[in-house]
Amino acid sequence: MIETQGLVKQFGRVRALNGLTFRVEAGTIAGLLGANGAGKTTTLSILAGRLAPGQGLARVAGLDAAGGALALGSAVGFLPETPPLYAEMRLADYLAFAARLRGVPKQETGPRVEETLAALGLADLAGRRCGGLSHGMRRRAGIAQALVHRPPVLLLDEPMAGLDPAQVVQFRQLIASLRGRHTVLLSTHQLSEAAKLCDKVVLMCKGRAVEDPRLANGSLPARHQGYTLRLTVRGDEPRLRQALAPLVSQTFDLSPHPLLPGALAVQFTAAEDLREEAARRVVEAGLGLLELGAAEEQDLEALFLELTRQEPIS
Amino acid sequence: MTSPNPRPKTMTLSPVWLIARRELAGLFASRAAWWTGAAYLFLTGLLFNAMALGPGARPSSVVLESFFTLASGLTLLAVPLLSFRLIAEERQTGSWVLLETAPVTPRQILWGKFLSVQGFHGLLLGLTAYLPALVFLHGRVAPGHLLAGYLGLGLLAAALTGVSLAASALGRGLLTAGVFAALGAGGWLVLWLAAPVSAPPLNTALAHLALYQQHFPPFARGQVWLKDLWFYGAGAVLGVEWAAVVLRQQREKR
Repeated sequence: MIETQGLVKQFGRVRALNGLTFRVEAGTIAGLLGANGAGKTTTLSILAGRLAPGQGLARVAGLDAAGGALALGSAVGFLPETPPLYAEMRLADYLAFAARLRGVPKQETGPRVEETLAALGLADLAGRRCGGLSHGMRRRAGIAQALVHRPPVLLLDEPMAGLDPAQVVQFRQLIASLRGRHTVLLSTHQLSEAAKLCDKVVLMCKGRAVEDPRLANGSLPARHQGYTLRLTVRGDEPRLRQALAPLVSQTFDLSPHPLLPGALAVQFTAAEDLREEAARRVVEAGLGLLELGAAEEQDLEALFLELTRQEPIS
Repeated sequence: MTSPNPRPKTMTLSPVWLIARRELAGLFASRAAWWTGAAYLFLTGLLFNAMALGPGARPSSVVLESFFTLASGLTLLAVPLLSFRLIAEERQTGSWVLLETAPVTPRQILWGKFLSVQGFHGLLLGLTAYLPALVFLHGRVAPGHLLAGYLGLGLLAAALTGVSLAASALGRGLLTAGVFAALGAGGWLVLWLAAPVSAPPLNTALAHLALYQQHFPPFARGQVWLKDLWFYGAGAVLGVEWAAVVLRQQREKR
């Protein structure tokens, strides 16, 4: 549904995309993950028809994005980082304009707008001017304009940037609800959001998808299989090692806690969440359990940092 | 899975009207446009009373010629002010992306914007109609003179909109677009000043190419010449086409 092959884009001396190749299957939600300047926005802009690719192939819904927005027709809905709103327009009028601009017949425009407003929880704001909307509502209005013509593909550039935690949760649910009906490609800095929302993550570094044996087809499974457990324990090291040994198949990190004198910081990975078992064993060994935590996302973060650091500077 | 709505690739008028209507509504919602319009109408009335009517009895045709000349001066100021923001401001606020990613051609976007300025300026001209109508109270007015004068003002506005749209497309921000529009319109206007100091045949060409000197006064006198229609029409079309080329190149090179 979305496919790039050897995509290259040069801005003067800067090579923003350097042979980017990835594929997103129809009906799935994929994340473009990367540091600032990795080429995420450039990729989305090419796929949306805003930018012409220098070299390579970019196909969206079977259409060649090199032909621009005209060639893509109404196959794509695009939400840029700043929602493209007209401040003076009322929300319903704005959506009607966006729909008509993308070829929705006049007689269908009204129902489509109402349907979209309802789906995004914006029905009460239909008569509000776009300039008077809050930041979160502007984002919703931005998604609404991208969805109102029912495109098969949605491209969202940093859709959750600047939202408060409650809005992030709402937005995540909203985007997740599109799964199956639309192919969604979103860019984000937030690893945890990508892990929670995406079926697949394309890790970008210096204009290309990171290649690593741990990645399948240049992509990272969004939900990491393992758990990282962290414990802070007061007591002696040999007894702690002995207590945790049955739980750990590989080696684990054990070091004096940097902030708590006399305490030990332990970290190890396991295939499942072993917090309960670890806590029981520590207590039964007569050690003092000061802290216990599992950080699933840390694995993704660690892998992200490791992989993006490994990339040679081109 | 939903299917996209196909749109024919040939230029259709529908998006042009759609964009023109939205832009016109945008102009009516814009404080800058209201101020420009208010200043235009106020100054037209003031100058008409002070200069066109003037002291003592004068032939109606002379009064009308003065009126159209004064109004053309204000059109020269107002139209670039209304037009230079059309693309630059949208880029600044981010709404340009909506048009960029829609299945419409740059030409359709530009003609839509072009028509909106013509509509707004046309409305302003319509609101000045009471001024020449006052001449009816004191003398005789040839309707043809009125029509020719207003046609000239409309064509002058069209040419200025064309060059201002090109400036708006070229500018990276509002300020640069404004500077380009001022340079474009101003440069085109004062081209005739270069004619006397140039050698033939350049002097003749410069005099003919200047925006105002040879082409507007006939309209103000009530005369419509085909060459002047062509001149202003071509100016408008070339301006819009130049802007379209700029937008296409920006997509390719950006």
